[in-house]
Order: sequence, then C-alpha cells, then structure tokens
Amino acid sequence: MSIAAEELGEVYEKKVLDKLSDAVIGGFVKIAETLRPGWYRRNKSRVDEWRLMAYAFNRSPPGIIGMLLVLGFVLVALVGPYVAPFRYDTPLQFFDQNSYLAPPGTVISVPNSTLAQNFGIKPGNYTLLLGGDDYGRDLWSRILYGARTSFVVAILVMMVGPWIGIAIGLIAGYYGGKIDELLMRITDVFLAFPGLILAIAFSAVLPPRISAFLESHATIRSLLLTLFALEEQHAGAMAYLVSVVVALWLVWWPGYARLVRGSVLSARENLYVEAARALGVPTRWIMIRHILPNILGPVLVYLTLDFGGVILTEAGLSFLGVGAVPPIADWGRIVYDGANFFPNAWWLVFFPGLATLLAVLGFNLIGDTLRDVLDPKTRRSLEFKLKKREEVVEGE
Amino acid sequence: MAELKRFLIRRLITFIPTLIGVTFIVFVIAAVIPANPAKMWAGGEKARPEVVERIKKEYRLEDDILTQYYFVMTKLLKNEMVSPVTQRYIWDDLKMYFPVTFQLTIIAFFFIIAIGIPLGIVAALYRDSVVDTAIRILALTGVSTPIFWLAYLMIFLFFTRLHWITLAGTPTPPYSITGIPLIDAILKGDLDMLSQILARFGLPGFILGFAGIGVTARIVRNSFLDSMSADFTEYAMARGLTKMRIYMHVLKNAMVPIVTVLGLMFGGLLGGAPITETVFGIPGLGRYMLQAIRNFDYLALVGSVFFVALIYLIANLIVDILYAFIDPRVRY
Repeated sequence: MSIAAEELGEVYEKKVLDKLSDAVIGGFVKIAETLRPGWYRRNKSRVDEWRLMAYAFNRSPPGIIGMLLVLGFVLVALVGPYVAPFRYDTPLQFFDQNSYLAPPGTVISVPNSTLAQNFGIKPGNYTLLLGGDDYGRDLWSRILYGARTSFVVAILVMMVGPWIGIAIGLIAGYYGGKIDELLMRITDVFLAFPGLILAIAFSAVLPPRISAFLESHATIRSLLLTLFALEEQHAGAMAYLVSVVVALWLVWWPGYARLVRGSVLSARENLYVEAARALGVPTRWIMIRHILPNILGPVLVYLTLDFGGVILTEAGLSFLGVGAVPPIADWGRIVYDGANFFPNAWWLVFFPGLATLLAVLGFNLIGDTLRDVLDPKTRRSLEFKLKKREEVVEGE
Repeated sequence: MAELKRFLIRRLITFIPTLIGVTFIVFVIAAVIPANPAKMWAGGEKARPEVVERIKKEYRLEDDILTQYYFVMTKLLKNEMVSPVTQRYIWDDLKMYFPVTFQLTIIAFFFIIAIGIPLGIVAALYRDSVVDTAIRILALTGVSTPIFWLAYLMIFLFFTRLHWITLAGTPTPPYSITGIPLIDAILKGDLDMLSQILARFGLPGFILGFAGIGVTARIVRNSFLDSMSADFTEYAMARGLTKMRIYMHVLKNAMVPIVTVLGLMFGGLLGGAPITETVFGIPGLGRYMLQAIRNFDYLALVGSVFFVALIYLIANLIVDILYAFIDPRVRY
C-alpha cells in the first residue's frame, strides 16, 4: 500500500453496486454481441463510458436514494393492483358502517353476501391499514392503484410530448433560416402561456371527443383499460384520464424544442456532420444518426426530471377537478375528494400527497445526479483514479 | 438612451404576433372544440331555444372562426365584452382579480429572494460539504412537493392548531393609491392593515414560492461558483481585498443568470396560481381562469390569457432592460 491508495479514498475499492452495474452492462453487451457479432469491438469506448457513468452514479448518495424510490414506485405501479387487498372501487361501507371515513388501522368485518362475492371479497375481518374514505373505500388499496394511474399517465406523456419538441428542435436547428424562425415563434407562443392553464383548458374540453374516440376503437379502449388496471364499466371515467394525457402532450414540448435547437446549432458545426454531408448522407439520417445521439445527454436529464414533473402536474390537475374522475384511484383526486373532510380525515390528504412527493422526489434525485454523471469532467477524474488504482494493485 | 428607446420599440413590436398567437390558440381550444357553448350559457339542456338563438346572435357564434376571433378581441380590448356567464365586463373582472394575484406574487417573491439567495450563497461557500448536500436535497424536495399537500399540512399547523392565520375574506384598505392593498398599506404605514394582509396572504405566498426557493438557491450557488473561479476574483484576492469585498464583487457578477431566472419566475407566478388560490380560497386570477374554464366561458378565458401573456412578456422585457444596469458591457 502506498500514499496513492490513501488519496484515492472511497474509489479505491469497487463497491457492491459497481459489481451489480458491471453485471448489467456485461449482460447488455452479451445480448448485443449475439444479435450483431463484432458489436463490442466497435463500441468498446462507448461501453467503457457507460461503466464509468455507472460508477460515478454509485458514488452519489442522493442518486442511490432516488434510484430506490423510483424502483419502489415502478414496482408498486406494476404489481400494486394485483396485491391490493380490495379493488379501487369497493365500497366497504355496504359491508361495515365503520369503514366510513375510518381512521388508519380500523378493523372491519365483511359478512358473507352475494355483493361481497361480486366484488371478490372473502368474508372475514380486515384491517384498513391507511383508513377509508367517504364511500368506505380502502385508502391503501387506492394508493396502490393510484401508483399505476400516475405511472401509466407519465409513461404515455413522456413517450410522445417531449419527442414532438425534440423533432421540432432538430428541424429548426438543422435547417435554420425561415423554418427555424417560424418554428421558434410558435414555440415562443407556447412558452408565453401559463402551462398549467393551457393543460386545464385542454383537459376540460377534450373528454367528449376522447370518449367518442374510445367508444369506436375497442382495441385501444381495452388496451388502455388493461394498462390503467380499470374495470370495463369505468371506460367513461377513463376518457378524462386520457384527455389529461393528450393535454400534456400538447403542452409538454416547447422546452425540449428550445433545448434541442440550441444543442443542434453547435453540434451541426462539427466536422463529422460536415463529412457526412459531403459523403451525401441523407439529411434525415444525419439528424437521427449523427446529431441526435450527441445531444441526448441534457435531453436525458430533462426527460428524467420531467417524468416526475408529469406525475406532479397530473396530480395537480386531478386536484383541481379536471383530471381523473371517481371512481378512478388517482393521488390528486383522492386529495381533492378527501379535502372536504379535512382536517378530521387527515389521512385522505396526507398519504396520497406523501406518495406523490416520494415518487416525484425519486425522479428529481436521479435527474440531478445524472446531470453530474453526464458531465465528462466527472468521468475523467474517476477514470484517472481507477487507472491509478490499477497501477497501485499491479505494483504490489 | 436613444438605443434603449429603439430596443423597446423593436421588442414591443414582437409582442404583437405572440399575443395574437396565444389568444388565438386559446380561442380555438375553448370556442371551437366544445359543442354548442350558447346552450350551456343559456342554462344547459333545459335552455329555451329563443334564448339560445339570441345568445348566438349576440356573440356571433355562427360566423367563421376568424371573424369571431376578430370580434372577440376588438370587443375585449375596448372593454365592451360582457361575459355571458357572469354578466359582467371581463376587463373589469380582470382589474378586480389581478391585484389579489399580484399581491400574492409579491409575497411569494419576497420569500424566494429572502430565503433562496442566502441559501445559495451558503451552499457555494461550503461547496461539497454536508451543508451543500442538505441545500441540494432541500431544493429538490421543493420542486417535488405537491403544492396542495404542503398547503393542507400548513393549514393544519397554522390554522387548526396554532390559530395564527385567517382563511376567509380579502383585507381591503379604505384608501387606494396603487390599487394593490399590500403596497398601499406599506405606503400609508398602516401596520394594522399590513398585519391583516400578512395573516391572510403570508402562508399562501410562502407555499406559492416554496418550489422557487430551491430553484433559486441552486442557480445562485452555481453562478456564484462560476464567478468565484473567474480571473477578476483571483486578482481581487491578490490585491488583498477583504473576503466580504470579494464576495460582493462575485455576487454582482453572478447576477445575470440569477436575474433571468427570477424574472421568468415572477412572470410565471403572476400567471396565476390556480392550486394555491383554490386551497386558500383566494379570489385571484388563477381561480378566475379555472372558473371560466369550468363554465365554458371562453370569452373570459381569452381575456385573462391575453392579460397573463402580456404580463409574462413584460416581465421578460424588464429582465432584458435590467441586464444593462447589472452588467455595463451589455448593449442593446
């Protein structure tokens, strides 16, 4: 052991997490190698960078906390509806009066009846972990279902909204001139809006149209019902949720257009772009294959942060009464309905809000850590330390 | 000064297409997508056909979109437009609701500056320490907190438990200088009125500004660090200036990005805070717009969006003018 080892501090030993991320990256490389032989040889430097990014991430406690929160949220969203003790719309009040605004920990008993069988509840005693609402619905179950609602809304929004902005930014930045001017003026108009108000306006006027659309497209309807884990009879209520998704598509792009345009303006001056153009590579191909991958860093950070942002906005819309409608379980809507009984039934406000906070915080912590990790300076200093470490180990 | 004048004129001209764009989009969303607004204004399904006909004629609902839009905008700007739902002049409504939101925004902004800037400087001075990490996590928690949730927690603490605040009414002084109660009370030195206003608006203001505090702290930290590593700082150190003097120089140079973000934030906050205003029952612009959307009162909505977008643009313009005062190198 030398002085160098001491200076290296925490980087000296690989952590358990590093081995885990090595394994994940190794697995990915193996898959890529089977699909396309020779892939690893061509992309070795890229894989090395990924590895360093993973190491840098593992050394950031906020990042790890964020990762745990997000993994927890995703897990609950995926399995929550299947492990919830009750369905989201089960009015336990029919079985036991005590479930009406029951405080957390109330024990209720469900007698044997056909109604109970219809809702798929076995007779017996149940503990309402987080209490019940004004229909006697179990808050814990509704929060589990609510995770699914938030998650699916966020995924659907992020799959479309930002990419509209990215496409507009790419086109504006690459072509420049009149096209750029026009697209950016449109972007400015949307940026001058209060975003939430625009989203509210959209979500208020869209439901009848969305409802009609879902009525006539049975496949899309049943697909969405499965995604949101809703019963067939609540397709009408789901139209409101889908309206929120569409509304957020329409307001979630201008920031990305600005960001991407700015990055493209500097990226298109690079020699490799000029070389590609000289070789006669089609413009579309240059934009997607040569420019986009090189500007994805900041975009990735914003995508992560906005995943939380969408969850928060959706909860806010539902809280204002323009998003999810009963009986759909939605964190914002539970607070909206529960606020009538505040502060007596504080649990109806406290727990859904806390769930929202934790989920959103997770994405923000990851996004913020990614910003550091994607900074080449962080990786170079880490690489330097790792090289030093190897030298020290070999020297012994 | 002539340069500033030319700059102002040039900028004011660019406002026009943006304002037309903003109002036109809202107009299309709110007037064209829902079916038959006249029927809703007349009272829904049970509306008498002749009333519906009269409303349709009065608001020219049967013309094509562009004519309708032109009609709405000219009437609005001349303050001749009466809302079919509230039966009041829309511009008058806006004049009534705006001061409330403005007052709320000033208080929110006060919290953002008074807490956010010192936190950011502390984080920069103790860079990469526990304090820095704590401020970073605080900032991230700020942007992750659902406003409505925080609002209810605070109401529980300060209203239900401590009885420190009021949740009803809007204190209005019997005199009017600027039309904004908070500023009027300060100008008059009316402490009683001021404490009433703060008891009503202090907490909502804090909650509205909560997310901004963290964002500001982060921006201040980063731009402070940037200018700490600049050459002039090194020179100031070499000259042996006191730490305090050096930090004043650093802060002055770090101001440009800070002012940009604060300006955008102020414009955004003025755009109305529907959630905060709803929770606290404050009759402001955000709630007015929300009400307009619920009633399909697109005329009121177009009017308020015009107003909000104008304020946002003016806030941006003021930021641009401020640059020149902060940084003498900036020329228009």
